[in-house]
Amino acid sequence: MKLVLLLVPCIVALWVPLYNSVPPVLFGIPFFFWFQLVLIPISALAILAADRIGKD
Amino acid sequence: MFDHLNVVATAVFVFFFGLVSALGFVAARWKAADLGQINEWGLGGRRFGRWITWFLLGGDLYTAYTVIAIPAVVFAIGAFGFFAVPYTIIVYPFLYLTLPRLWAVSRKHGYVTAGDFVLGRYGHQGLELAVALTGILATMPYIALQLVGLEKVILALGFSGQGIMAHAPITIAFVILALFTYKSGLRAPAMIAFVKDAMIYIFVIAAIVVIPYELGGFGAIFEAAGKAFDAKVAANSKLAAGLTLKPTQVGPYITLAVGSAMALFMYPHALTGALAASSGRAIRFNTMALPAYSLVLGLIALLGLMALAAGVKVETPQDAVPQLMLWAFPDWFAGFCFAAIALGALVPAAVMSIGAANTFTRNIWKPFIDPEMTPQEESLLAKLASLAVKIGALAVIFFMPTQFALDLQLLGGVWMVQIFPAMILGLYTRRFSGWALLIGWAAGMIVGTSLSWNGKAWVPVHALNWDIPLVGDVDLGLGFAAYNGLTAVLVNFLVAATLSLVLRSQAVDETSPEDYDDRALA
Repeated sequence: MKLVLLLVPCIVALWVPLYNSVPPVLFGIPFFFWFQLVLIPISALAILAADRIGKD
Repeated sequence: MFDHLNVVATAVFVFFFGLVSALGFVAARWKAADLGQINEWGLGGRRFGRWITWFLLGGDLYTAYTVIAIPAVVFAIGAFGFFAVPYTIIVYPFLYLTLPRLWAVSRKHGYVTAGDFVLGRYGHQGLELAVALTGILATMPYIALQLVGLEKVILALGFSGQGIMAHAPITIAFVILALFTYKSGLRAPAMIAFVKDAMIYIFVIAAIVVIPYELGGFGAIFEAAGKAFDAKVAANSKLAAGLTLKPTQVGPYITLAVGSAMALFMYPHALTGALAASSGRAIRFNTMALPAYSLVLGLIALLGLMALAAGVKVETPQDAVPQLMLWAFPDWFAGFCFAAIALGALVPAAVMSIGAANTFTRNIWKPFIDPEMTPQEESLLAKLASLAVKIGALAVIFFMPTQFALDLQLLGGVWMVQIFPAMILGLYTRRFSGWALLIGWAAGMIVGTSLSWNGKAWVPVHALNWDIPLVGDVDLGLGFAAYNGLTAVLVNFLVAATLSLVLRSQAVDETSPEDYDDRALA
């Protein structure tokens, strides 16, 4: 479970076809840009969750 | 040379830059300890708690790369420059797992550098030498990138010249860096990191609020940038640029992110910051807290698009951010931003040259040339070595022509990542032997370097052909381009893994499995 939490953000971040598009636009920002920016705090939270779960 | 000098911006720049540097020197003296010991001098006694480590690593990892080089690529070709975002996303989960192990074993055995660990783990002096040389070699282009950052800021202040004076900005940048490092050692940059980071945050927040307001909102910025890219592509059909990735850019985008993430903590300066932490806990905390800087990196990358939308005039893409500051802000605040950018280049450059110099004295000179050195000789040699590394960085700028300043860092990464197998596999297993890893390293260095030279310039990305020979010239559409560092480290790994089956290691491993558990040390 811990490894899954650490792995998922990485896979999403590297799965380029998933976010390589302009729509949906948010506050004028294309999906490509806002999705990756939003993914940064989400990945930090995933590490936090993995850490809370404890060893292994 | 001073005809076009922006007096107000220069005055503010000199004021803040001077004030912060002076602060660093004073603070360093005030916090002085017994610096005769390498542990004290080089790692601050491994006493840095979670917040100091946060500032130190943040100041150390997010450099002119972040504020000049990445937005320059975004300015020039758009979406592609954003690869630094997935890079900084994937690096932290990985560090969460590996870095506490490295910290623990280093604490237990008093390791200060990557070379120390490799020698202790594999008992192989040749591998230690290879690891040390790679660190020094790869640091030079990274420092070169910082010098370019400083140069661009000085240029934007209005220094200009013809002939020999055309090199004035880069010369000034070099002299500032050399004096700074020589006088201060590691303590001043660590102290300044606080102020420097605060200045960067002010600069970024102001830019991200004020500039979209001036340009009519994010919608208008992306629309204008999109049109500008369309116009560029219409003028040059070979150019891959735009607000999303072209199919040919996807491979490089992913592999650059992965390769850069693998290389990051192989660098001597990054490792120094991490090993100086007081506990494995402090490191884990930072893998969750450092993404705050990654967010800043992403926002700064957007400045490239804003510069494009604002239509600023540049000589090279690296001028985009400084010119945008002059366009958007009053001169005094532009001067403040320039000081922030300059310190953002100077602090890491100082730490990098010290890290490389430490590696040189500790893992090359002392074991191989003069084991009987006195501490005084050692510190003198380290200072001279740090100067030599900086001259190497200058040589890189003059003799390694690249399209983007970013390429300097990426080319350094091609070399740096070659110690990844020895370091990271070594944290988990001893199945790989010293000789096998050394030969794998050599293979990776040769493959990576030859892929990167295309006959005219140094390029970090290279097309790989996966076409099956039997099918002949039929294009299966499987060929794609990848970061040379990643291609080469795969070769490196395969060679090391294969040879490890044959070349069994007889050498002593001075570490034991429980040494890698930081929780057992606490």
